[in-house]
Amino acid sequence: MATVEIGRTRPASGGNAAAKVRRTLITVAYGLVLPISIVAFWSWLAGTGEFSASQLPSPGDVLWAAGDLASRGVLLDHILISTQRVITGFGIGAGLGVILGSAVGLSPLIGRFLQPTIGAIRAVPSLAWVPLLLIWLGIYEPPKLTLIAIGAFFPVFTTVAAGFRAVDRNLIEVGRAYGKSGIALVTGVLLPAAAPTIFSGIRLGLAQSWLFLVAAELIASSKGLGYLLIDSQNSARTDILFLVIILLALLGKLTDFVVSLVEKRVLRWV
Amino acid sequence: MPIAETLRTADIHVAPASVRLDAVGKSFGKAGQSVDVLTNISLEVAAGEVVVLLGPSGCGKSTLLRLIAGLETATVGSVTIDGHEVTGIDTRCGVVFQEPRLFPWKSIEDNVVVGARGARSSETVAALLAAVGLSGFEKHLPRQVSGGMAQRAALARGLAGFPGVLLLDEPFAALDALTRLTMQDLLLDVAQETGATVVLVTHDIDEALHLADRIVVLGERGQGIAEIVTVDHPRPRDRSHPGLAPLRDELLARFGIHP
Repeated sequence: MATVEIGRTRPASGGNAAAKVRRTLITVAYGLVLPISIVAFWSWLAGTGEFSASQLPSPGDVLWAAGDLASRGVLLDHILISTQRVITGFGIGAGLGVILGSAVGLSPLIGRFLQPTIGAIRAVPSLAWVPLLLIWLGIYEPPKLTLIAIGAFFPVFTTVAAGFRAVDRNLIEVGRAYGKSGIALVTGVLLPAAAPTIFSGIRLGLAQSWLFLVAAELIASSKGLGYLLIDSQNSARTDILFLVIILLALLGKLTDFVVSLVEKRVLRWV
Repeated sequence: MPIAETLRTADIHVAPASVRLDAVGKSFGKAGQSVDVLTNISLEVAAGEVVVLLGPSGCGKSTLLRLIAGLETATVGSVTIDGHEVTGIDTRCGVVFQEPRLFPWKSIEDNVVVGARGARSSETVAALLAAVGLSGFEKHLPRQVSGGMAQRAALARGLAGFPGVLLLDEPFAALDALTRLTMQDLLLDVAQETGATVVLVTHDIDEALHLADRIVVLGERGQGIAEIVTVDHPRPRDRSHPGLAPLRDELLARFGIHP
């Protein structure tokens, strides 16, 4: 039979290593332009003398506060306890979200049972649970972890359920036509097809976890970044307030970056 | 090595399977406002026969194919393969869809292996990939190849299980003219060598004339089979054989084109 010559399209592995590093550096450089400009503007604004240090501390003040807290050995403690709370609460909430979201997304019957109830629970503003959680679970770790888990659960649950429901019917049909059914169809077709949506849900859930961490720590705590916020507000330490806000931004970004690395590894085909 | 020889060497034969449709009808939609897509279709396809379903868009030819594959259930009548009623997805069938429908997370090669259902050797998969002109693209992802290449991979996937009944829904429509001819011959080679029964949907009259033992012409939606034309020409067929011209004219006339 005649051979058909076809020109190669996009190569399977993109470019050489040097070019890859170059691209990464350029991306990082673009991303840094705005933060550096903001810090420069902030520094200038604080230096004009228009504002008192308790209204607008300078970047230097914030750095000094960081150094001070670090040298007293408390900064790392606050960061670690908050990170630990986020990871634990997120793990519980996202885990439940994946399990129940999968059940609802895969089985219309389970969906009919669960969807209305979960939808109603979701409609309750999450902070409304706080008084109840405090009465039921005390003021130590359990209510905080539960609140963070509630925050992580809903975005994960919703996106996972929607992700499974949105899987291309045509691909499912191919799977069935080539002999896959039941668990094999789920793991072989539905799961990989829904994986990109599942990951975006997990990342949303992680962002929500940080949000709820602060809420939880603002309410009752003696450690953690949320506590540090309240404490520095009470003692008018605006420099520490700034520091905590910046730390929350960095930690949120960092944990999201870690998940994105996993995502890139798992979804190599995207 | 041409595919026919590979198959001969590997001694691949399928269990011959006949297809029988008995007064089959299919309607879609709710009771009261349903649309009859197919009514009263009776057809018998012998084991190893190549039958082409030809008809205008919307006449239900794809639906008919899906009924044989068990992807749809007939509203009335019965579909049997080799005497056994089709009651769900039937693994005796291999289906090639209009679109490639490759799994985007699997390489071209692994997609073909899906069709083989783990039962075939890697040599057979490699031979099929070579036969559809995809040697060297085994490790590529579907998004890294052109639409025509993806469709050829889908053809290889459909063939890879060496099913008793091959069901193809306009499998070559998205291919360029030259590749289309090559793939038609590949299909005939595989069918002949393995003894598979072929039911193929097309709206291309020349394709029908080249491939078919019989051409089943479907009427407008819901009207059933309009005509069955036997193409009694020896194979391999010469596409420009003057003996096919009267048949072509007859078929064209059926669709309102008078040469």
